[in-house]
Amino acid sequence: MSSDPHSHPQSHWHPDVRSAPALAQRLDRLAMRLLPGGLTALAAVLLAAPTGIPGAIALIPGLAMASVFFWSVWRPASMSVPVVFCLGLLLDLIGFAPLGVTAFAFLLLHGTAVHMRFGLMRLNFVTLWLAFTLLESCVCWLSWFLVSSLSFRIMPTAPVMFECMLTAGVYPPFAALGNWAHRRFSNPEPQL
Amino acid sequence: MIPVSIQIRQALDRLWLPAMLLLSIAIMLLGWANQRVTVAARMATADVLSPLWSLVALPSHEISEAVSELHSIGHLAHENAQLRSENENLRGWYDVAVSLTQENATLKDNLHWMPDPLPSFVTGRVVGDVGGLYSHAVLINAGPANGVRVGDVALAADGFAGRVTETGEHSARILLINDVASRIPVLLESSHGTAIMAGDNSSTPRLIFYAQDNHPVEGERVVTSGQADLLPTGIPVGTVHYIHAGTPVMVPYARLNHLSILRVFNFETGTIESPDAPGRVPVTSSRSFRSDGKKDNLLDGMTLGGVVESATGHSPAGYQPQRQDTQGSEKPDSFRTNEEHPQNQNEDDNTQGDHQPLQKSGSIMPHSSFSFPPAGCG
Repeated sequence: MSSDPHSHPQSHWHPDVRSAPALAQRLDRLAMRLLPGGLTALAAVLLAAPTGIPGAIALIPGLAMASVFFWSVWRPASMSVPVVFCLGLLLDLIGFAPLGVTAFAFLLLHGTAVHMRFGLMRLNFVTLWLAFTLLESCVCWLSWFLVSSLSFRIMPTAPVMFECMLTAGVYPPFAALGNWAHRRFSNPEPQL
Repeated sequence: MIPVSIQIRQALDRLWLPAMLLLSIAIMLLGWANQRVTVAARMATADVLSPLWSLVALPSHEISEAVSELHSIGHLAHENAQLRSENENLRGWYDVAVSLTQENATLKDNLHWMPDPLPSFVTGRVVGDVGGLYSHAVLINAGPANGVRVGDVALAADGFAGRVTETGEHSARILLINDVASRIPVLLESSHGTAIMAGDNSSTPRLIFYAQDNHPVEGERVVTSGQADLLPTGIPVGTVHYIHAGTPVMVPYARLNHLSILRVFNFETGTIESPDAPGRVPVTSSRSFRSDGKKDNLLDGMTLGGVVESATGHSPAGYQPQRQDTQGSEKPDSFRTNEEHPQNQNEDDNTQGDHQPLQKSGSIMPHSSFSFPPAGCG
C-alpha cells in the first residue's frame, strides 16, 4: 500500500497516510451498509432451521418485510436496492415460492418506502405502523397473486391473511429494536 | 472507484431499482420456463445451508428433549402405572401378532405368495423447515449419495409423512402430505373404499373422490393404495375424521409439525415390467432391477414380520443370511413357477396340485420359516 503505483509522482502529499484510514473507513461504511440486510438474512436462515418454535417459518417474510420497510424509510443507504434484491432471492431460495417473486415484491416495497420516505418520516409511530400494514398487505397479496398465476392455481387465501396480521404484529418490536440500532450505529449515508 | 460527477452517480443510483425489478421479473420467467434451473439453485442453497441448519437444530433438539425429560419426571409414577397397564395390554397383542404372523406365513406358503421386494431405506434428520406460506416441506440431511432418489417415500416413526420431490448433493426435500400440491391415492381399510388424500395446508388433509355410495367411516384406518405405481400398498397414513357432515378429513399418524427423523424408503415400485406383447414397441424401463442393493437391508419395517422381529430382539444378522439366500436363489424359481402356474391351474387336478407345492415348498420355505421365540421372552 505504501508503494502505490497509481499515486501521482508529483504529488507532495503522502498517499499511504491517507489511504489506510480511507480503506478502513470504506470497509466500516460497507459493514454498516450491509449490517441490516445481513442480520435480516441471518435471522431468516436461522428461523428456517427446525428449532421447534411454532410459526417460525411464517415469521420469516414478516420479519424481512419489516426490516426492508424500516431501513428503507430511515436509512436507505443501509438497505440498498441490491441488498433488498438479494434478500428477496434468498427467501425465495429457502422457501418454496417461485423464484423471483419475493425479490420483486420486496423491491416494490423498498421503492415505495424510499419514494415516500420524507412523508413517512414525519408521521408518528401509530400512523407509520398503519402505513406499513397497508403496504405489507399489498405486498402479501401481490406475491399471492404472482404465486397463483405462476402455478396456474388459486392459492388458499387464509395464509395470506395470517401473514398480513403476523407482519403487522412483528413491526412494533422490530421498530423498537431498529430505533435503538439506528441511534447506536452511525449512519453510512454517503457524504456527497 | 471511477470518479463520476454527483449528477451521474445519482442518475445511476436511480437506475438500480428498475434494473433490479427487471432482473427479478426475468428470474421469475426463467424459473417458470425452466424448472430444472430453479430446483438446482434451490438444492444448491439447501446443500450450503443444511450443515448450518443441523448445527442450529441440534441444541434446540437437546433442549426440547431435556424439557420433555423434566416434564416426564413430574409424572413419573402416573406414567409408570400407565406404561404397566399398556404393557399388559400389548403383551396380549404380542401373542396375537405372533400367531397371526405364523398363520400369515403358513397361508402365504400355501398360496405360493410372491414376496414383496424388500424396501431399502435410509434415515435422515430433518434439518430444515423449507416450506413457506403456500407449502409444507422439510429438508433432510441425506441425499443421492446416501441412496435417496426423487419419488422415494418418507415415513416418520408412526406413519407416512411425504415424498421426496427434489434432491441436492447431500440433502433432499420432502413434500409433506398436507401440502396443497400433494395428492396421494389411499385405501380405506374398513369400508374398503378408495379415495384421494389431498393436502390443503392444514394439519388434516382432506379426503376427496370417494365413492358416493361408500362414504368413509369415522375413525377407520387409512393406508396407501398401490394405484398409479407410485407407492406400495398398505403404508399406514392416519384415521378418518369428519370435521363437518360430508367433509371427511384424515388425521395423520405422523406428527407433521414436529418431524425430527425421517426414514426414506425406496420401494422399487417402478421395477415391475410388463411382459412383451407381440406387435408392440417394447418400452425400455428407466430403472433396472436391483438385486444387490436390497440385500444390505437389515430391517423389513413394513411387514408385521419385520416389526415383530425387531420387537423380539431377534438378531437381524442371524436372520439376514436366510433372507439373502431366499433373495438370491428363490427369485428365479418363483418367477418361473409363476409363469408355469396359470397352465397348471387351468388343467388343474388334485394330484398335480399336490405335487406342485411339495416341489416348491423347498424354495419358498426359507422365506416363511420365521422362528419366533416364545411370547414371554420378549
